[in-house]
Amino acid sequence: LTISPTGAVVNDDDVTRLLDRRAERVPAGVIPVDAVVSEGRARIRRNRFAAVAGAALLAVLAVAGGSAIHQGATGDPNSVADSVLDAPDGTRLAGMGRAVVAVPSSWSTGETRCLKPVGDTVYVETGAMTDCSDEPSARELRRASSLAVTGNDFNYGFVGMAGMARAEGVDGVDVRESDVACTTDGLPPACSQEFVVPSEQVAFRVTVSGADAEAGVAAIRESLQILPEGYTAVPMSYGGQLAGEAWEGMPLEYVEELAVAIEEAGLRVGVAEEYRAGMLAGTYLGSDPPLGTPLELGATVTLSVSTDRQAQPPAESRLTVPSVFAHDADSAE
Amino acid sequence: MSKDDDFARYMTARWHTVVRSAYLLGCAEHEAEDLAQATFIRCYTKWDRVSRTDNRDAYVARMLLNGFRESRRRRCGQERPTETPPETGVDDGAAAHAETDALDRALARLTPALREVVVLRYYTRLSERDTAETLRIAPDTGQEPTVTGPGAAVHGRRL
Repeated sequence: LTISPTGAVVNDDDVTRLLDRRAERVPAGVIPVDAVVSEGRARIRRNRFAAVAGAALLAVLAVAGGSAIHQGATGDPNSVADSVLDAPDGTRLAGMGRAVVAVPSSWSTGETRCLKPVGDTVYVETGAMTDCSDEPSARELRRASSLAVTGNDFNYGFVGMAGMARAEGVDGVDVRESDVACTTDGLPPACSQEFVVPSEQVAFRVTVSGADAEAGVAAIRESLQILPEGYTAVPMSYGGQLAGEAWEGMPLEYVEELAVAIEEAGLRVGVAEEYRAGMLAGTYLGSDPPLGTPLELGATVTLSVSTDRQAQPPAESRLTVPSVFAHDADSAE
Repeated sequence: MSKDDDFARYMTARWHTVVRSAYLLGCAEHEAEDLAQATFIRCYTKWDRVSRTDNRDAYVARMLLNGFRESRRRRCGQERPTETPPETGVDDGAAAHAETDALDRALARLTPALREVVVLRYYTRLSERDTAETLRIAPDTGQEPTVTGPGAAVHGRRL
C-alpha cells in the first residue's frame, strides 16, 4: 500500500487524516447562505405553483383575492421574507418596482406579437411603436388575458391619470383606478381596468377574457400590494427604464442591456447556457424567475441564452449495486 | 429558531465539508462549490424533512451524491482525474505536495464506487451504516469491499 509517499501502510485513522489534509487545500469560498436561501424559496414557490397549475384560473383568483397575499403559505410567522413574496396558491406575483399583483401562475411572461399580448401573459408596455407585418387580429387579442405594466417614464403609457378616481390606499400609499370596462360587441367578452400607484410610478392594465372576466379583473386589482423596502420586481425592459420589452429570441446585445437593468435594480445576474440547434449564440431564451417577479434585493436572476456548444452526450451509466460493486473491487486488484 | 435561521446555521457549519467532499468525489474545485450550492438549495427546499431526520449529514450526503452522479455525466465526469494520471514527481522534496499528489493518484485509481465509500466514510465521517444506506449498498458482508474500512475498500490493494 503506497498511499503515503513513504510507502507506509495506513489504517483507517490515517486515511481520514490524509483526506482531511488534502481537503484543507481545496478552497471553499464564501458561504453563500443568502443566495441559497433565495433560490431555495424561489424553487419552493415554483413547485407550489406547478402543483396547482391545473386549477381554474378565475376560481383561484376569486377565492384567494388579495387578502391572502401577506400570509406565508408555510404559516411560519418568523419567516418574514417568505410571507412577503408568497402569493395565493395558483397565482404568482408580478409587477414593476415594489408594486405587484397576483396573476394566475399559468400566465406566461412577455407572450406578445407586434408588442400586443397574444396569450395569457404579463408584459410591459413601453409605448414603443412597431412596424409589424403580423398584427394579431381583434379576435386573437380578445382571447388573451393579460397584465400590462408600465412606468412613469412613459407618462403611464396607456393610462390617463386625469380620468381616474382615487381608490382606497394599499399598504399606506395612494392608488388611482379607472372603472372596469367590459365589452359586449360580438367578440368573446372581456373586461379591463387600469390602476396607478403614483408614488411607485407604476401603472397596470389588467384585461381578463371569458365569461367571468369581471370577477377576474376584480381579483387581480384587489391583489395589488406594495412590497416593503428591500424588494423589487425583476425589470421587464432593457435599455433605460422603458426602452424596450425583453422577448424570447432577442439578440445578445439586448440581453446585455437587460442584465444591466437587472443589476441597476439591485439584483444579481446569472447566465445559463442552453444549446439550441440553429440558434445564434447569446440569443435570449428566458429568465428564472420570470421577468416581473418580485425578489429580495441581492437575489439572483438567471438569464438563459443559447450557446453554440452542444453538450456532451451523457456518459454510460454506472451500476452501483453490490454485485457490481464487488466486481469492480476484484477487477481493481 | 426560524426555519431560515436553523438552515443557515446548519449550512454554515457544513459548507466546507460538503464542498470538499464534492472535490474528493471527483469534481474540479470550482465545480465542487457549484455542486455544494446546488445541494444546499435542494436541502433548503426539503428542510422540513431534513431537519426532522435523525442524521442530517447523511441525508445531505445522499443529496450531494445524487447531484454528483448526475453532474458527472455532464461536467465533473469530464474532468475527473484519469485512472492513470501522469507522474508528476516530487516537487523539490516538498512533502505536502508529494502527499497531495499521492493521495490524488490513489483516489483516481479507485473505482467510482470505492471512491464514494472512502470519501463518505473517511472524510465526510458518516457511520458505516449511514455510508451503506447512502450508497445503497449492504454494510459489511465479509464478501464485498464494504464500508468497514480501508481494510476492505483501500487496504489490501495497491493504491
